[in-house]
Amino acid sequence: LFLNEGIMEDLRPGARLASSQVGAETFAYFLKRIHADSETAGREYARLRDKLAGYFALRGDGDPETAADETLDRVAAKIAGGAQVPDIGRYCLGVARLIVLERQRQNQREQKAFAGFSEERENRFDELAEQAYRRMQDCLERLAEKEVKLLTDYCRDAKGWEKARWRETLAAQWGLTTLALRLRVHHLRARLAECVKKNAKK
Amino acid sequence: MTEERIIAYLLEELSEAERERWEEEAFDADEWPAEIALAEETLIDAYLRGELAPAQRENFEQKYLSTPAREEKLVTARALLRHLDERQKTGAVEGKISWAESWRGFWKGWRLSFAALALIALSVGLWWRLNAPQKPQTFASVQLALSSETRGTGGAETPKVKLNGADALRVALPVPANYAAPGYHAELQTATEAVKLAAAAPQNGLVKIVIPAARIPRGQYALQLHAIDANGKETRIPGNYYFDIE
Repeated sequence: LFLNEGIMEDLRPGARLASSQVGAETFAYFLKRIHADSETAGREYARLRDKLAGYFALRGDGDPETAADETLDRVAAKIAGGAQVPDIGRYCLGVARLIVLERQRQNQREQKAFAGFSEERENRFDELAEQAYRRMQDCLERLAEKEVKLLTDYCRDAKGWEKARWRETLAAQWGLTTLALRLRVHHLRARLAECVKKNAKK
Repeated sequence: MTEERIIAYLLEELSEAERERWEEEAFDADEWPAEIALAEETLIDAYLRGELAPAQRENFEQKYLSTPAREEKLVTARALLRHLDERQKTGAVEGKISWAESWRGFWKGWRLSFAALALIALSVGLWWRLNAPQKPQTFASVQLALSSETRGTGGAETPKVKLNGADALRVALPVPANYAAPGYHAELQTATEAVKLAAAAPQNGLVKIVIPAARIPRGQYALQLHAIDANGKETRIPGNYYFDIE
């Protein structure tokens, strides 16, 4: 929708603005364009940022928060430059799509460089899985016993109807709806994933 | 935004136009939909558990696993499921779900639902008993006169009624002979609203209505009467029946 030539040209990688490069004045002007009331504008900005981070996570970006900031910075710069933007939300989505394209191209270039070493890549994947498994042990130990029990129960090996029925049962046992149960498990898994990532940096 | 649709998006099974529309729908929501991350988790687990159809499996490997972050999600999920499966195998927790267990769980779920329904029925019954309109037991009574004047512009003095703790006010309204009809209803005009009141069948040229005391705190009121003929047609009787509550 917004990937027209004008935007492509102005937002090309060379013109990218990192967070630190957007000045206070540009940012203030951007906020004002979001909403005249500064408090409302702040809330809307945060909401927009969350949605962008969600979008980048969906597209498989490794650092969705930073990508969201980059999108907002580019949009802020564009608006400060006098661009007519009737719908800031949709415009942000357009810019986010553009950033995804750029990152995909970058990723493809890196994959091409690895193309001749597919076996090595496969081995690397197995090695990463093994490392994650070892780190996961430590992370599981940090959870409360009942949380591990919930995860174990929720992920019990079952198929189709049996799985659905089992999860309904589990939700009833925990006094939750099935959606609330799924969310709770999702948050636990997100905590574990974060913990594994942190352990990898140590 | 169904789980099937989210998974179709992730596996790139939608057309380009559908993908764009779907993204816009997600982005237009007030908050980024939580269902998306849940569906992605389901997809990864299904891949690891070997539950995807061959075509989906291929799309997962060729299209979904296109970024390092997604590979990392897969690796982490694989590590977690391996741990959990091992816990089950070593008996740290119970193993695979038996049919009987599944049935017991199903029944337990329904038992809870039945209990909840019974509780709701009991609560509604109790509430009704406590809050349902009770028939008034004690009455104050007054007979009013029809006035064609506006209040306070002369004519007969407005009757002043003291309820003295009665549950309701019983009002008798004389009906002009030319408005004799098989039925009537009245409208009570308060300072803020008009309340429709049912009237008993007329007797000796008088229509009687009962006004709950809660409806008439201290203040000035007017009643208007409507005659209802045999065909159900309503005719407003001109004038007002004024009264004050003290």
